[in-house]
Amino acid sequence: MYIFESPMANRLLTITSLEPVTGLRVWEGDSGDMNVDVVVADLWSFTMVIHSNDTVTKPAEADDITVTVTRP
Amino acid sequence: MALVLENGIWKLQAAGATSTVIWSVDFSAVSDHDFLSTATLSLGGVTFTAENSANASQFEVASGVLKIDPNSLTAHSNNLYNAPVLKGSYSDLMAFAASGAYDVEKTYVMRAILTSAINPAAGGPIVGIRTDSTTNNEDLSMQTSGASYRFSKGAARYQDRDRSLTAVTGTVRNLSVVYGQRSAFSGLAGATDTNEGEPFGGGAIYAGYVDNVTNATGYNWLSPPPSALDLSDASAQAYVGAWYYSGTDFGVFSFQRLELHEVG
Repeated sequence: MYIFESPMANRLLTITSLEPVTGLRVWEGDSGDMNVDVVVADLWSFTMVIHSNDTVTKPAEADDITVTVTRP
Repeated sequence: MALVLENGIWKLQAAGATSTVIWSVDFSAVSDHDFLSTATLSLGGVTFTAENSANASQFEVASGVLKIDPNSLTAHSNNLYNAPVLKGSYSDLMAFAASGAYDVEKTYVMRAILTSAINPAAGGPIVGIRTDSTTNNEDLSMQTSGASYRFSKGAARYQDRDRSLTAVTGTVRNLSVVYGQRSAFSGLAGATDTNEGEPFGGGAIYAGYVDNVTNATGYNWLSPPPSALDLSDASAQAYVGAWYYSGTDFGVFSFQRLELHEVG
């Protein structure tokens, strides 16, 4: 398993996956949501949404990838 | 194209383009100064001011080294801009430019050089230029984020990239941010060398462009002024700093030199 960590504003994003996460791009969405493009193994990517209540919406192709959002 | 010699290495440079270190400071020549007690200090003829010093347990020039030990839960991206940074007015720095002022036709490179090559497990050093951190595209900073490089564009926008998959894996000795208002921006890193005096020394980690013709959307795009970063603005600053959010605490980040290049 690979673990990729990305500290966000007052949150820590942790992505656990079978293939390595090689990068991500973050930008703001509506209503305090954050959009995150996650690049996996430099081969494919998906876009997920981190909501203001720290829940995560991600597409079906990322079902095997675990995303957790923690706050200090 | 012309061949130019940079620190013993011949490199290609666009015809007519010249590069000059217009401002620099070697901390080895700076007297001890504690930013936790006095926020301002003249460095290379420019007044620098400590910001967010309350979020550092150490923020000083000591024995010829700039030392910053950021507290946990600090960052300089994604709407959390509470990391300790040392900032200088860009207009004051531009007094050393060839024309004595900021030139939109030229490219500028701000580099921070550490005293040794480091490999932080969390957080890291920051170097950047900005007019407003809280606005998208108005703060360009190159950082490490533990095992990743981070390039933040102000407000909520940033990009992480696994360092092991870039041109500069492992250790980091220097970071640079490059910006030309008519052309492009990028983030550079050097592994072990200081790359002192080299305008584009190190490896290119991140690259973007200032162009609304070829692609009007996307993370790598920066809208042309006045809506994007305008370094002629009186609020423009160049800065160096360090952050640490959580995980294994690196401790003190030690800088030996800052330098600002003008190219073109």
